[in-house]
Amino acid sequence: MIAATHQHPAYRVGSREFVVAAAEPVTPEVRHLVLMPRDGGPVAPYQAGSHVVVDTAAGRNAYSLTGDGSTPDRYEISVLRCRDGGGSAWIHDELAPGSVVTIEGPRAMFAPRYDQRHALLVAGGIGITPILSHARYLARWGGTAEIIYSYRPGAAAHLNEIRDAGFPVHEATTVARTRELLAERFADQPLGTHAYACGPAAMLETYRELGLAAGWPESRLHLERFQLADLDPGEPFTATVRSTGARVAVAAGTSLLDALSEAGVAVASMCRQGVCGECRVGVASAASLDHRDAVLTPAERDAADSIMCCVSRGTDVEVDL
Amino acid sequence: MGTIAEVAPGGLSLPVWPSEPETVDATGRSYLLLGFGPEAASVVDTWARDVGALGPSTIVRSARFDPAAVTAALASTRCGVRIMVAGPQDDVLMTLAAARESGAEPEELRSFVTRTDVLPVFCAHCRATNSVEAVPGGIAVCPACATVLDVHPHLSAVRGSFLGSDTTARELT
Amino acid sequence: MTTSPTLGPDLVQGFPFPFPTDQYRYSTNVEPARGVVGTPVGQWGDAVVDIDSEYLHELAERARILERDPSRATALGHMGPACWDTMLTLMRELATSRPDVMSLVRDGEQHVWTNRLLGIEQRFTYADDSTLPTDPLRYIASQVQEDLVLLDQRDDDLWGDAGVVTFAADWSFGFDVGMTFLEIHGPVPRLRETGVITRARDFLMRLQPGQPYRRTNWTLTIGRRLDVSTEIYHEWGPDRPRILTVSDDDFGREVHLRTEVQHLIRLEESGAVLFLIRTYLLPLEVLATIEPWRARTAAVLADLPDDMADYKGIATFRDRAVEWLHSRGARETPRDA
Repeated sequence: MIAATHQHPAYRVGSREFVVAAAEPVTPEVRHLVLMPRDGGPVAPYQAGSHVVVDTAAGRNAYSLTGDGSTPDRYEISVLRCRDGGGSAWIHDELAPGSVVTIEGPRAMFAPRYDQRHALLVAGGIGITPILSHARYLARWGGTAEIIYSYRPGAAAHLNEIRDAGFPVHEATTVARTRELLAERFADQPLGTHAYACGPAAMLETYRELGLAAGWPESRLHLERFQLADLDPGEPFTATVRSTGARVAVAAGTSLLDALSEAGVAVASMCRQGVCGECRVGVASAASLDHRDAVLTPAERDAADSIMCCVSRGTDVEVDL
Repeated sequence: MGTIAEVAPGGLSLPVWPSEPETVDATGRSYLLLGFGPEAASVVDTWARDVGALGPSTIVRSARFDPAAVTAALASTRCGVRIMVAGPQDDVLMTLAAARESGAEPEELRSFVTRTDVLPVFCAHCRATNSVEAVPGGIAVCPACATVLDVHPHLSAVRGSFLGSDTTARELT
Repeated sequence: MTTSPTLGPDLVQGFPFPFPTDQYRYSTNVEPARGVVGTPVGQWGDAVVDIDSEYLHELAERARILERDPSRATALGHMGPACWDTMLTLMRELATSRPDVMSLVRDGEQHVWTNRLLGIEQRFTYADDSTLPTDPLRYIASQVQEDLVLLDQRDDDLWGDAGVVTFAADWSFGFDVGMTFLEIHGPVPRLRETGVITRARDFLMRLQPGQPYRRTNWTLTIGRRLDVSTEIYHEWGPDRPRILTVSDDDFGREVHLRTEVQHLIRLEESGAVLFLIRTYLLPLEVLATIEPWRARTAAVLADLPDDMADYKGIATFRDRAVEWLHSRGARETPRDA
């Protein structure tokens, strides 16, 4: 079987090298990167709200693309420096125009509903990045929207771009005002509106709560988590590797993913926050499982046969590796 | 649960109607109640009573489905509304199709059919949609072009109608 | 209904013979696209969009059908991005597989599309309908022999919300537009019970960009007739009883094995799934000259359960087709004395 022998290069979404064409601060903590393909070829189009995965010295991080996705010739991302050191610090401190990075994607996990009659776009902090992509998509295709942007004064990335996107923007700089705005705007949208939110976990909780309270069914409330609530370190437990019988001790505060990796058992991973689903491993048996991810459905949790090993824990877990 | 054109277990795209009027969804914040024909009156009355203080409600009663009136009623609603429809099968199907067209999700729609001996049929030949007395799998005459139609057991939820096609050719086989 | 005129040799050498075994049942028979399949007389399968010697003829046929019945080309209002995505995807596909006659060049915010087979050079701006002579879906459908159906993915389901289908085999795209994938297939007997269609739906929902797949389907068609849609049933339905009354020679000339090669492509910008349905027709009189095809087709038809034969619309003449195919075998390869 010969597959994909003459696929057009515009449809490559595998691992590929890009050159940093520009790297500008858009706030003191956010850096905007323009990435051009190193081989000069075309780049794949993408659905609004898509992300790419960047190989950093400290691991693979997912970042939302800020463009509308239509016939692009470059990718653009905006990266918030996180306090934990990690990949975002590497992007801020080590990359300069001319640097080469390897990226994968785009991947769509926060796409628009194309049949929406109207959109309510909600951004908190750096969550503005996929929301900007949605706004630009809607502007290009003649859709309608209104936008809520919640930010700390002086720390709002892309404020001018979102104000210029062509839709009404409601801005909030406090938690209380964000809540008020959400309640008010959820109550006054036309039938057929879909809502999209990206931001800190606490804001997304408020968004869901107020959306449901306004009578919106779950199917209208789309959200993208970029970080889960802080997890407690958990109890130490032991994992057994099924293929070799090796027993791996997982200390409190250490993830199963890291413990396996320390023991020489490599598991592919990406977000390390229980969001992307990349590090899913099969579970042959377990005395108990503590699922802490945002990937598995309730039914999949009940089945107790897999686990996102970057965040979830358990007791006496035998992993299918 | 939404009630429109759930795929029947028999393997055909047929509507499955609840045997009793569905109850009011208390998670709504406003309600649009539509009733067609005399048999729907008491159903809509019961729904209106059950809505009570759950939220504001708009009631539209008419003898037959009127596209302009239904579309106008839908356009005045806001997200958070629950739409409830009672009446003969043809009026209910056309109303549910109009609600979908306006952007309603299945979980925002509830309905009750007071009679199932009428259905809207889409004529594959003249492309007109008309209400006829027929059952899926039966035969009807297209009121627009007079073709004798097989009424396929095949419902389009978007159109709110069943497919009809020339039956004479089929009889020859 | 008359005879098949002289077939271009490529229509035999490139015919996608659909039976890998002596028995046909519904299955989720998908495989990666572009795999080349050898046959006793040639090969098929290397292209996602296939151009053969019927190109001009079939495009003229499509134009004639659309003029008579515009409902064969329908797109629900929200499908604009998917329609543009389809057009550009197919232009790139054509430019890649037929660089001798097709090209797509980016010129700033514009593209220039050249199709020398049709003498077309078109400059357009992506997402701007006013820069094309018609909407993007009809535009590209007028340059490929494939029928097009676009599935929008939402709410954990697939919805057939746009398409141009002029060569339907006993269904009505104009009626089915807007249905879910399962609803479209609702009338097919046995299909749901087997779970095949649900598995196919689940497969399609996981389809990734850049990894097109394909499957085949088949039936028998009387006459070299691409449009056997529900809308014009009155034109072709009477052929089914009539074919029992014709001479053996006419039977072989008129009855065609109809293969659909369906390509399944995840579009990147819109997330829609593009279904390409390409129809190939081969008269039995030609098929029977290729012994492995004759024997295999006879076996499949003889074995086919009645309900499946009925749904495929071949119940009335299936037995005669089997006998006819057997007779051709007996004549050309006599049994051992």
